[in-house]
Amino acid sequence: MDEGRLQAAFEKGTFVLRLTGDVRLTLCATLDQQVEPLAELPGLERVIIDLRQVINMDSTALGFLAKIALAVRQRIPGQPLVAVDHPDVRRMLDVMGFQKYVTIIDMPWSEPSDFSDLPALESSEEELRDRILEAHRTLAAMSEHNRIEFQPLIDLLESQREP
Amino acid sequence: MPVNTNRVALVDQPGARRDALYQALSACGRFTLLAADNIDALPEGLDGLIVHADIVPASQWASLVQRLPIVVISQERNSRALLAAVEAGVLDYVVDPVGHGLLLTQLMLRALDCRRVHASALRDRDRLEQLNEQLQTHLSTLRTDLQAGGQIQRRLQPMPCARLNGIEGDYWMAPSLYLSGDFLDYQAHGDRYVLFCFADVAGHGASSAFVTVLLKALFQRWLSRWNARLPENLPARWLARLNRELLDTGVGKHAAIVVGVIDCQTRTLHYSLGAQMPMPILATKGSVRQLKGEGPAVGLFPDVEYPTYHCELPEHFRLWLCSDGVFDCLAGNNLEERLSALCEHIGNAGSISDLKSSLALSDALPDDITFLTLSGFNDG
Repeated sequence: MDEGRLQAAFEKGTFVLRLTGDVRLTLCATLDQQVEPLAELPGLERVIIDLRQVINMDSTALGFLAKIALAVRQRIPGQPLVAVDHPDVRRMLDVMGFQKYVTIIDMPWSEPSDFSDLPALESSEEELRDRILEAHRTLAAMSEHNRIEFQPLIDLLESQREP
Repeated sequence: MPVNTNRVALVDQPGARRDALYQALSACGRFTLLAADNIDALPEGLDGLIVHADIVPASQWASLVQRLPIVVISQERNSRALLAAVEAGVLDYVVDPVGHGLLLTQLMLRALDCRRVHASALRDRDRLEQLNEQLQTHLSTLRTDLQAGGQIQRRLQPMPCARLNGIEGDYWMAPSLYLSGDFLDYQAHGDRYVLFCFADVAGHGASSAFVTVLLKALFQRWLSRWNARLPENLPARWLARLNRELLDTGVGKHAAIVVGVIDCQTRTLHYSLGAQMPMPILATKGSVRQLKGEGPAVGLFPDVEYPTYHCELPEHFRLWLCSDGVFDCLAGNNLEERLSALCEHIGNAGSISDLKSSLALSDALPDDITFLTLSGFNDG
């Protein structure tokens, strides 16, 4: 099992949270307190949650994502985007009832250099296409830097990793 | 130049030898120097001693070494008095000290430093022992609390192997810690209905266990107030109320849950679920299938309406509910494979103990695991 990892970045109004591996936050009791400051970020316009490298998430981690989605609902114009690749993770999001609160996009994991083409989409909504294109760019940038605004959050989450 | 706060006594007979050494040491200026004639008349508040070997009777070295850091001075390397000091544990000595004022100063400073480090280590050790003792006390209090909590949880569980209106309820719970975040209950209502609830509160440990106690209280209260009308509406109504209750309580906890009503007269199961995974599994003669249904977890999203599902029950059936901890014990590379492995295990199991044996559950469980079965009617 890959142990879970978390990365976060805030750039040009976009907050990105990337989870990786087997994310188990069972014993993390203080996560809820981390959600509100995140939602109150000045200039927050877009939230992207990248789950493309997640192989498993426990219910505490899923609950944490739900709380983020709820906290930013009144503060950003669109819904948070959740990028998934693994069918099990997609299934868990569906079972938990996330569809109403976030936009789930199936987006295969690829290296940043492969981000130039936008995949063909069922959706005809221009705005959604733009947002997904923007998400591609932001996610690509994630691998190049990890801004420190969220270091306390990351430290907290990283400290909850299974030994 | 550091502040020379250390008070060091130079102990020797008064005279030219002591005066010369006093001058040499004062020139170095590394500590506050006091002169004394013998060890019985030492000034108060000393940090160290520079003492001539001939001044101290052999029998008194040992107690002196215990008291203060010492550097011994002597005129000859092979003097009997110097040997007595070394035997008693004095490590530092300087022969012909007047010519070696700087060396003597450095040895004294080192001895003072060693004593300081040693004293600090002793203080740390005492503090650690004290903390450790407090920790052990807290730990045992916590353990006692958890054990008491575990006993209360067990008292809230229904009777295993209970027969209710022709339905047999059975279960097995294995908390990964003292307390479980899993909750179940089944009760008869009148002579026609059997109601059940199966929930897995996110996380495990004390906070999740408290929510299971809340669930029990609510389940009990709502059951006692139910007027036995419209059983098909009850599960969805309960989940919506429970969702509100958890959000209003503000405990920040959510749960996967199934609530069901078995109507023993019409032989129908009415149920609603919130984020239950694995889905309820119905084993009948010759088939094992996952029941359909969806709905979000309770305690996460506000204003949720839950769909109700119905299922005809044949004459012989066993309904299985498992908490998601079971996935850790199933073979398969993905959820689908594990779910079909679970169905296969259930198809071959006539009881919960059969399932436990076939899953080969180990003692150390990564998550709470709970199984519940409701079987009937077996009257044909």
